[in-house]
Amino acid sequence: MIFVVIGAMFLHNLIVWRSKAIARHKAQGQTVPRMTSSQRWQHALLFVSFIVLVLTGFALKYPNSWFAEVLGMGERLRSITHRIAGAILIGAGAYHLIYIAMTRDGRRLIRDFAPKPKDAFDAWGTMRYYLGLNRTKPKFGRFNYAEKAEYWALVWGTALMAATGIMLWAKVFVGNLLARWWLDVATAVHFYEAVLATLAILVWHFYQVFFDPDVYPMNWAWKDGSMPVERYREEHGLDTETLAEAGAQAATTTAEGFDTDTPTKPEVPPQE
Amino acid sequence: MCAQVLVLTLFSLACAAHAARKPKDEDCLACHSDSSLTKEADGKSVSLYINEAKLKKSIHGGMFTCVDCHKDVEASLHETPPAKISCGQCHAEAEQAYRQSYHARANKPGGTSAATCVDCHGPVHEILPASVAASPVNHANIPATCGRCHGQKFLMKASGESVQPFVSYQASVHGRAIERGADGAAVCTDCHGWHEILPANDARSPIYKFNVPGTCGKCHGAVEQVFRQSIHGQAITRGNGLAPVCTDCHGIHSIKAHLDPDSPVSEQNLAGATCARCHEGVRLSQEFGVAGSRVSTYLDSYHGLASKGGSVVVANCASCHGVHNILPSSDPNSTINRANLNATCGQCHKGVTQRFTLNKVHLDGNTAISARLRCDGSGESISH
Repeated sequence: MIFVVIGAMFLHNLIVWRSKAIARHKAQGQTVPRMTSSQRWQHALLFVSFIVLVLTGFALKYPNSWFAEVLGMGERLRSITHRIAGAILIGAGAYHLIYIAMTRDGRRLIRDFAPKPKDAFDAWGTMRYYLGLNRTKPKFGRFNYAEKAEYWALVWGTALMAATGIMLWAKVFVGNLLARWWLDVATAVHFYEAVLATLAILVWHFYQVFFDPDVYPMNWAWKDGSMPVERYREEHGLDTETLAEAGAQAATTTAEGFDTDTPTKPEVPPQE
Repeated sequence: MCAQVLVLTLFSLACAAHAARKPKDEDCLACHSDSSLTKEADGKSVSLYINEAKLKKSIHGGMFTCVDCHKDVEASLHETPPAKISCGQCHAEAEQAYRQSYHARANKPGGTSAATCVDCHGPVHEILPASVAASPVNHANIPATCGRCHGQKFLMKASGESVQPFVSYQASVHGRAIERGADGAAVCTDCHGWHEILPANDARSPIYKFNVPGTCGKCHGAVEQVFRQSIHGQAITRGNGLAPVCTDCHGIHSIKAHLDPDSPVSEQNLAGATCARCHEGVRLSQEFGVAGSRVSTYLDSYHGLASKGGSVVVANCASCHGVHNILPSSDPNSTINRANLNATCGQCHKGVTQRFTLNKVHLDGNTAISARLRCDGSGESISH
């Protein structure tokens, strides 16, 4: 009874929400490139493997929990899946290292992500602005302080999880080499870092890309690779390079007789 | 010569004539084969019917005539009923043993009714030797015979007892084996004895705690030998009642094969349901300095988590500590003695060296890191 009623409610709202989300997505005006195709692929590999790792990891730690029940994997399948996802994440991380070293986009990415003293002032200024203590909001470059923190937390977390994960994977080798208590430490670190990373994604990242009223229901950049130019100007006004490129492109398209109000890629309607 | 023969013949005839005065079985059965023959005793009608076929097949019928036992019956027409014969007149030893038993004690006048000779051996005139398959005390029939009372819910309730021991036995590895026709499996009497069935708190009883290993060892002798050497067996030998005997881990009537998920010693149940009963709490640590929290620390480890996640290949208590041969790590024969740890861990983790094995296990999760950071890992004490 409860299942049917609440299920029907959920389905009803899901249909409405989906339609509205798509409509809002379509209503976007001119956009600027935010993520290249390679970056979106890297992000996709990251989040798929991350989610699988979170589920299969916490299913081990909390075997009697509901999600372990839902997952319903035997220990053998669970452990193999966790290793496969771990290998994919490490592979994506390794690729990213090559990417930032070898490609133009990559080098630009790391340059834009580099932390600067301004980021600390930005964080302070932003807090003051939203508490009503400041009249002006700080202006940001291509990545604001929150996004930079996110990126470097990801770098650190992935490195730590990869290192401890590989230690635990090669437990006999590491135990014989260093002593087994290193594995116990690695186990504890792997667990607490997993908790930290998962909560950081839920609290920090998901706010920025889902729940922030400015982007709700979603920041589509992960899928489209672009975001509305209006919003970009507002949030990343100091990234003159991108805005100049977007302006040049807008000028071109206008000159060619296109309506600048239509989305940049109207021929590919975004799907859920 | 002729005279001698004559005398002998006459003597024989005389003897025969004397014997003829005693009734023959046919004479008795002339009346007693009538199934409607009854007498009144204490206002109740008591059948005096004897089933001839069963009598002839019975162990007594094959050995004796009626009057061999009913000596006071002089003539086939007897006015007075023959005196009651007690089994103990011939089976004194059995009766003596029975007098000690729980059945006899329960059977006191005014008390509840409990089994007497005929309840198990069958009607007096139809008793079969135990070796005969049809005998109620034939080995294969013992559970059914005891079950006639011990499987009767209302009967047992009336005596303040439960049928659960019998019901559990039926589902046990022993009960099922008997049902399949495997005569070697233990039946009630193999553990409880027969005439002299004693309660578990009687030191003479085969089910008295300290006698249990010997009782099980009648069949499981090799296991008993190993158990006697173990720390549990040693403690039992010293008279430590907190140490487990066979039934503490395996169950009593409900014993199941260790591969049966319902067994208390199955992979699934061993740690949480069985070893935990003693090795989790403070009882053993307070009394004997045996470390507690052995199960919670196991369950927090990868081994324990994976076992809770349903793995039956991951290490459980027995994988490292052994089964019947459990010994403290200080004992050179222990599977967790430092000299044997490489082999023990190496069962699963091929190629481990002492650098891997000589580390604390059973870590308290909350102090795991600090404990590890305090010790240098070079052959620290192994907690057991």
